Amino acid sequence: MNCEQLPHFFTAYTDQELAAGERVAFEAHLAQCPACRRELALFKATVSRLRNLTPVAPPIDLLAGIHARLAEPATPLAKLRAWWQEFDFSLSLPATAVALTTALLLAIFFKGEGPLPPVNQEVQAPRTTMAGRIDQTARSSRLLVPATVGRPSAPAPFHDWPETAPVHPPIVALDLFQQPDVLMLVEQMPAEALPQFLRQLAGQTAWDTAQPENGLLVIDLPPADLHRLQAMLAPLPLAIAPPAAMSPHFGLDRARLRVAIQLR
Amino acid sequence: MQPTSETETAELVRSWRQGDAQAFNLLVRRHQSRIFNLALNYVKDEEEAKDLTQDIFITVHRSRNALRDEGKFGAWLYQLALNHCRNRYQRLRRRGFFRSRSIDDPDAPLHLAGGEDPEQLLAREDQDRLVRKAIAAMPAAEKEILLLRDIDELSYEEISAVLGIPLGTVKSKLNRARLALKERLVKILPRV
Repeated sequence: MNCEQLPHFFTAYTDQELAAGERVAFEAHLAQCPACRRELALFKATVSRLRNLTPVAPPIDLLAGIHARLAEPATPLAKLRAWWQEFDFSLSLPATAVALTTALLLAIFFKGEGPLPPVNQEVQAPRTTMAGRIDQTARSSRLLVPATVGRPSAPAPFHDWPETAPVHPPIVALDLFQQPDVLMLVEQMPAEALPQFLRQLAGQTAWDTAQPENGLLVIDLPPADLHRLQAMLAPLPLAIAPPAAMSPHFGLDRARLRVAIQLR
Repeated sequence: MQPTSETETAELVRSWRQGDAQAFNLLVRRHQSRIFNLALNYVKDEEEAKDLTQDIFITVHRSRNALRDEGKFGAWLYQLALNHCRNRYQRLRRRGFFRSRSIDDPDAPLHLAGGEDPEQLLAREDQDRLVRKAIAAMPAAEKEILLLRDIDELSYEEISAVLGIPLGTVKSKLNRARLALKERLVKILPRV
């Protein structure tokens, strides 16, 4: 084992789960490497810090507050607001209603017309559909067109509980929209924010970005980077579909995710 | 996972679902400290954590019929709590809550007045709060696995069930999260 490999085994070593041969190699390297000994000591100290965090006592009126809120009459609007907050939509309800309607109209207008070409093959002839617009841009911006487009990955666990987290149908019919795995609608992007956002996108070397037309961006990125894209848009009013895309585990079983961003 | 046996908890849940209001109160009292601290370590603000904890238990109350197996109340509670924490964290972050409280930059060096000794500064500033601040600023996936394993002491199997990820992935993610936190703490604490 070398210095680069050793940290990958720290937890397994402290849990005494290394195979005999691995443990011998691990300890042999430690014996001759003071830097790795220090790193392991810091690692153990970090875990110890966590385990020794003093719990903070919950407020004494916590239970009373729960009962007070349970006793409040649950009007339909209060239920809707609670559900809305649970899904962390930052837009006001009317604004998001407009955004979702726009998304649906967008999907209908840009409905796809068939399978996409295989990965890494240049599209020979532009098509008039959304796929075609992306293909046309792809030849100049090196955007890779996925071989298959499917539904988003299995929803995060909480979507299996109908009362805690209602399961939403997709905001747009995926058969019509076909390409994006995630749709983001940005309300009221300030004029000065767009160039900065585009510069940030250009700096993401692992992402492929296309702008098929004004106000529409399409980004192919690793699923683990989805949260970073959301963070880049965080200060702005933003609606995301499907809601499962807000989960950190969304799409991790896929190689790439395609995100369509409509800017208003 | 539970401070009391899973059997006792399952019996409480059964009683509660049959209409025993006191059983719900007992369940809240038995789990409120864990859930409150989970929320606090997630959003790093006691008022928000209190509100979040109440939200979680209100959802627990309203969703009691969604729990399929009373013996799995603990994992169900954690899943529900984490979902609430994630949503609240995202909402607060969008509103600039963490920026306004300098929570999202645990790597920022300590600002020392002239001649101040870092050790003395940290004696005044609660080292636990610095550690919580570092945790709160981590990406959700890393933060959650640290909270579940190293603070709430769930087993790997329980974490796998709560997060819905394979056992091997739990261990590798945990190792990466611990390494990431180590790097943060080394910068902000004179001695980790």
